[in-house]
Amino acid sequence: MLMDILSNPVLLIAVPLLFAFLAVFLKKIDKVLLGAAAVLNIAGAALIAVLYEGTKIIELGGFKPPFGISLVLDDYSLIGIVLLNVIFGLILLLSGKHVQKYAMVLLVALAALNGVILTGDLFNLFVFLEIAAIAAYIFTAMDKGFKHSFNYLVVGTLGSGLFLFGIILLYNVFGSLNMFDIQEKLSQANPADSGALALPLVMMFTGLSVEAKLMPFGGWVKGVLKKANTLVGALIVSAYALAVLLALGRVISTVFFMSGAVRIAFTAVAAGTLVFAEASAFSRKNLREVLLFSSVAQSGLVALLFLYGLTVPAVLVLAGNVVSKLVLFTVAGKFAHDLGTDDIGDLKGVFIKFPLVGVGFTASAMSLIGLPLFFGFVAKINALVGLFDAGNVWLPIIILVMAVVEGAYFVRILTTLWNTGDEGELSSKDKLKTFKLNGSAVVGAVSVAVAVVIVALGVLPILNIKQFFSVDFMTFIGQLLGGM
Amino acid sequence: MIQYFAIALMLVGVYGLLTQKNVIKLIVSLNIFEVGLNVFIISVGYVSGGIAPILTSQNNTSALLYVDPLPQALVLTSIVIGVGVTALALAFARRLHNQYGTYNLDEMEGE
Amino acid sequence: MKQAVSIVLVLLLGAFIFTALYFADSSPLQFKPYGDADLSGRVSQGYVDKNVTADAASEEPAAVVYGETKNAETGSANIVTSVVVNYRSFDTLGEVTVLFVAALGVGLLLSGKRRRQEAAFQPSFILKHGVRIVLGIMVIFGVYLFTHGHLTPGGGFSGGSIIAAAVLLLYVSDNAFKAKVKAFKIAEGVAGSLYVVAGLLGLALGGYFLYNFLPTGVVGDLLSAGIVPIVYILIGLKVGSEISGVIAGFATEEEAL
Repeated sequence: MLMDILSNPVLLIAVPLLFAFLAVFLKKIDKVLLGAAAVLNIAGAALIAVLYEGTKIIELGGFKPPFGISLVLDDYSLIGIVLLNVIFGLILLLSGKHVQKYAMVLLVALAALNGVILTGDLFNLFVFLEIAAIAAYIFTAMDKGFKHSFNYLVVGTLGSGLFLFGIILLYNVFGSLNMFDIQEKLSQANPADSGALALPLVMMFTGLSVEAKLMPFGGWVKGVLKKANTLVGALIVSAYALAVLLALGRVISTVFFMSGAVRIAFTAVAAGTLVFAEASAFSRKNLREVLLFSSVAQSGLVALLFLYGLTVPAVLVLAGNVVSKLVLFTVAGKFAHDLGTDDIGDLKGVFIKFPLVGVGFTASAMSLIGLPLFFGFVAKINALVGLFDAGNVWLPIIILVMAVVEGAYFVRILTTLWNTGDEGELSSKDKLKTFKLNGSAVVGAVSVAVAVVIVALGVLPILNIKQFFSVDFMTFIGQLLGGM
Repeated sequence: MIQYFAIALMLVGVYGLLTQKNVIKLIVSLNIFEVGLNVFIISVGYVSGGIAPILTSQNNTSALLYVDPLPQALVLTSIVIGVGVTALALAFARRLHNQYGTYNLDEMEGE
Repeated sequence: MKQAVSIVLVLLLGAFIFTALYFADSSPLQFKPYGDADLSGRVSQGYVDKNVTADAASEEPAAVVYGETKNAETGSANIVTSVVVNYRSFDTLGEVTVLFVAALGVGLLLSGKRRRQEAAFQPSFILKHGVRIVLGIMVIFGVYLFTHGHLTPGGGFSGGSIIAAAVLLLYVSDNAFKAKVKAFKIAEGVAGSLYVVAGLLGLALGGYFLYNFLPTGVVGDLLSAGIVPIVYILIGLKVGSEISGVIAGFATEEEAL
């Protein structure tokens, strides 16, 4: 009984929320509460994972779906909450000093992101997305970039309004807000009627694409992240990206009943995002700008995979991406904060001075490109095989070309950052001595630990060739997790 | 009819968001959009001849024809979210005005 | 130029919405026009009949009768309230959180050394004394709205806003007035925590988060509907103190540098 209560996923939402409300009058220990909530959530997610026995619907208030709101714990959301809470904990560990007065906002954000991943109800998803977005408007203003945050607020509010418009149109047709109830009703529908749902789906996709950073609606991300500190940057590119894209995938896989034209339009948006963002990343000189465009590109790739029903590869690509981005953005933000610059040219040879950080950064970048022996390779090969199996030729080609572009700019970054210059050119080495990185040991240790995990997850599947091309969710994940 | 009006309001709001450069006018446009959306949400719950979904000593049984209570509950949430966002946006407007001395986004220099 | 492009874009969007909603071929998945909604095809019929937890296989449910039906599912005579605070209470918790975090953001953005912002006008005699008369009535009306939220139109959000409006009147009528923001903060924190605690109690006692663990009484009684009125009172206090806090934030300005 007690175990049942403790392993109820709703606690992942309720506990941070309770702590946020408590922190209002326990202001002195708000950071302690934030840390405690993060640790409790990691423990809770671990407990849920250990006791997991297949799909479970958690009814709230005791009302069965579709009447009440229900949370859904299945393979998909289980991976989501475990990853999310671990990532959130790592972000706090790495960037705790930036929390300042924002502990309560972060507590609310933690609760909302867990809700976004877990909920099985469309309107509830809207509410949690809105909470998460409002928290993001606030903490992106941390660096006094009010103009960009205001821009984000306007675009984000319009986007969530359109999302809500789409939800209410679906409610008008189906009389229900529960995703799985709608999915069931759709399973009996005639595909010829799918054109009637074009408007709600376009509205929902447009609304979600603002938060999911798909172009052209994700333009806010550039202004917000260009100068972001490690905390804000890592939260947006890893924790938020994970939760929002998982929600997008959930919505697509349950209620998106697409006609041909609608599918082509959505695919064009996702593929266009991928191409445009990789090209932008290639042309940038600042580490954080490169990373933010790379993050946008990955959103496009993941959305593309979800649209083609390739849920497993999409989750793998997404997981690999957010873990890598966490390390990359933290390191980039750290350089910008402590060394005063994140221009790639100015940081020449910086990894010689901080080899631990360098190893972690390199492994994460290589995984992101999708080189063999890294986790990103496993993810990308699954995606490509899945697309080929679906009879697609030109999408895999786009993805491969973009991977080459991505590889080109990351190799350029890595060679610069590892390079001290020619023999005898002492000036750049002398300059290195003035570099001082606060807490580089923690960042180094964490990034190396992440690198080890990435490599382990990349090598293990190769040892077992038979499972390598497996698209069966649980065996694959079980094998990956079993290797840890 | 009321739905045409609601959609028109939403479109007016979108037009405002596309053309306005003044921070306050942008917030007003957002609010117009939200009002249109909220009216539309309520209209989706209307049932011809239905009465307000409250049991009273006159309408004392659930067997009567009521309008749909769910959109009304949803619109409450939507309104409250709108209030929160508007308050936050106005706080941003105030900070922007303190920083740049203007409400016009084009006149705000630098980062 | 820009305006012309915007007009074209908006008209295109409008044309898309209108054709998709009102001028498309009929199909089972087509938008149902205004007034054509059929409750029996929607989840809402369950809310009206208060038989959501019953088995789908059971017979036609007995109608809920005002003043007679005992221990009905939610026991709230106001069906919208039963949806807001019981069937979809989790949304409402989220909604309260939205206000909470927005008020927090306003506080963070407008922080710094504060002094009261002077209004552009001097409050007149009528305003000053009128407010004193109206104030008590407003607060009582606000409290009435959220304590009777399960019986009559109204509830925590409207009641709380009316109380906050009373605070706004105080600010307007007196240029020197400064509310005790700390008290708002404490009320807000306590009410919010108690809402979550009520949910957790439901989880411990009934096995479901936000479970209505109190007897629901006779539909139409003041003491009915289990935790619904309690939660609505908490929401009323929370919304009232939050919006008051936002007003207090806006009514003060940064100390001139």
